[in-house]
Amino acid sequence: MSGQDKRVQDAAHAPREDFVKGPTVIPFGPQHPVLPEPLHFDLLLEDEKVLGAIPQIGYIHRGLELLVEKRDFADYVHVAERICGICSFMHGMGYCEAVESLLGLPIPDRARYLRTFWCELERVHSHLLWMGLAADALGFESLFMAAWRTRELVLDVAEETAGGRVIFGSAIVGGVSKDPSDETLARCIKALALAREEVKRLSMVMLQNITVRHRLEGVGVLSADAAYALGAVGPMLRASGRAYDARSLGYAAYGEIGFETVVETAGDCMARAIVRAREIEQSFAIMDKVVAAIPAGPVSVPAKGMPPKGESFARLEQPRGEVVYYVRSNGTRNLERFRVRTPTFANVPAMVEAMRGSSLADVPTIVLTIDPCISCTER
Amino acid sequence: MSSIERSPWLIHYDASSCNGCDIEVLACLTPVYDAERFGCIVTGDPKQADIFLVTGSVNHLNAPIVKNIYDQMPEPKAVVAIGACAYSGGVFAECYNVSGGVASTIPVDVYVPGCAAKPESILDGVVRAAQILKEKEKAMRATRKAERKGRKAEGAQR
Amino acid sequence: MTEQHNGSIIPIEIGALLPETDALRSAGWRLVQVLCVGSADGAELSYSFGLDLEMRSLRVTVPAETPLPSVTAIYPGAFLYENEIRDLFGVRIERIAGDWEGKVYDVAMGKLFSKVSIKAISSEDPGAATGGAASMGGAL
Ligand code: SF4
Repeated sequence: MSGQDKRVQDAAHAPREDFVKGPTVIPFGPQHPVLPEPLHFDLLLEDEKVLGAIPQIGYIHRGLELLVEKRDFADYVHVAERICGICSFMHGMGYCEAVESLLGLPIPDRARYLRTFWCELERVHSHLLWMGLAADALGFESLFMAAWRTRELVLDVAEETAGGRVIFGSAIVGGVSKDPSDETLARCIKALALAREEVKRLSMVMLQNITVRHRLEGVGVLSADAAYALGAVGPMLRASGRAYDARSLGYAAYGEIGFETVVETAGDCMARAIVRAREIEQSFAIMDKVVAAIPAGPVSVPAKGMPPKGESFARLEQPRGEVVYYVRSNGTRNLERFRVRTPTFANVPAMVEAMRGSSLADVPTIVLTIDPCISCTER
Repeated sequence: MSSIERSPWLIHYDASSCNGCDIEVLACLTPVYDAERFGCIVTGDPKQADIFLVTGSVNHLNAPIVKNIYDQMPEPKAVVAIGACAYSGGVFAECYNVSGGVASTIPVDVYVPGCAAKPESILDGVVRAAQILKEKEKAMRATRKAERKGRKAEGAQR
Repeated sequence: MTEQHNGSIIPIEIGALLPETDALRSAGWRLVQVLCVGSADGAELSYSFGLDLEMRSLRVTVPAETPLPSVTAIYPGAFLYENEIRDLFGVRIERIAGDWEGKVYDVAMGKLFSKVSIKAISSEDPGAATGGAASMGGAL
């Protein structure tokens, strides 16, 4: 056995002393007021200090990955969209991108731009939703209401351009199914400008309020190395000072439009809030650019024939972080395997790490600044 | 005028939904749709709730939780099943870890259609549930009255 | 673009998994995901790693009933993937740091994703999910 092997094996057998001291166990969830979703932790406490947290998932596991064997590959988009209602468009689109790369099917330019537009729209609505819920958890009711009112402006645009408020239903294999006219898009940009002003005001309130800052600063600190080693993604990783954003891959129209990765270095709850606030601002800018540069033309190409035998990955940046799709085909209309590694799934180990050492009262805040999406995690 | 019709308290539980319906339920409570103008308020405590909003389908792990919340609610109570999932499992009906709609676990009074259900129709569902509550209360009163009468008659006989 | 998304997929032997993973970790790669695809005579696992925008996957083919070492000693964040794969596919992953003992999804029927015939796995069945919402034992 080489020295390296031995080191690896020793580490695997190292005792984990944390759990033998007999700490108090407090169950947190599944029905709880912090999030609308069921999430369960066994919090191990010593006095007020959290020694560790054992997550339990499975309350909303549906097993939709296996459904791919029963559905036609082009119809499965509808299921993929419903992996999660918050990032629904991106889930549908990620599945489509994976299948398109399997088919070797380039999609029209206008479709690429529209996809970018809807992705950013979804990011704004998701981050505003987060802002509201976070404010609610901090007891800041008026900000909660204000954030959700502003979010409605964004959802109106979604409804007008894509046809749905939360489940957009506009991604299809080979492009997109809706084609909003240039006038509609211009009108939407005007409506979004209003929302943008409002969001600026709200972010300022959120980030400068002294009580909010007391609750968030220095809480739930995650170092850059820990975040990276535990495989954290999205705002969680970027708030700890690592600049990784899957949009740099240049999928859809990000290659042409360009964007800037938002990074903060403090790694605490505040940093995560700042990252999201800055990302909303940037998303508005990206949407402006998309609408200004959108080319004319068709929005979809027919996906003909069977997917060839093979496999393919696709990576996107969702509001909560990088998501990885995998499809494998056996040459029939039903794919053999579909798998999605969602951002929250990757963030769970880091979330547990961020909670360790915090006090019990901070647990809801930490959970919220990570912005977990349970239905993504369990699929 | 029934007070319960004018100020029903809501409790929301996400069985195995995709989140789409949940965030629409939340949207109902915020300024644009504002369910509170019907006197509703959301509570986290089943013992104070009159209307139970369930989203998503039931699986073997969360069925006891749904049942538990329902059992803890005082009579009269109404259940609103929101979305295609809560009706039959929706797109996930064929999944292995989905055992069906909410009705397989608890009795449902109002179904709200849609995938995702629109806030307008959720509001409509809540208002209808409030009417059902009123009727249930009336029926409860009537049976109680009849019981009292029966007891009185028994006493007189003796 | 497809190339960049797919990265390179490198088939390796089971014995090479830990040394290779360790080398990647030392070189600063992060764990992106662990993917499992069931097949009639076992399973195929792909460990994907990322460095900036590059992605590289190590692929091991595991015959049914063959033990596979856990990579949690190198990448502690892998425990969720490994627990999931063991529960749903019935791959015998050994010595996971943070062993949930078959309670990840707590599905009623167990090992649904596995394509190995029932007979082949019935003999020894440590990770069977038998229901019951008990909290997970083991250390994290
Ligand atoms: S009905 Fe549709 S939107 Fe609602 S929870 Fe089910 S899948 Fe999601």
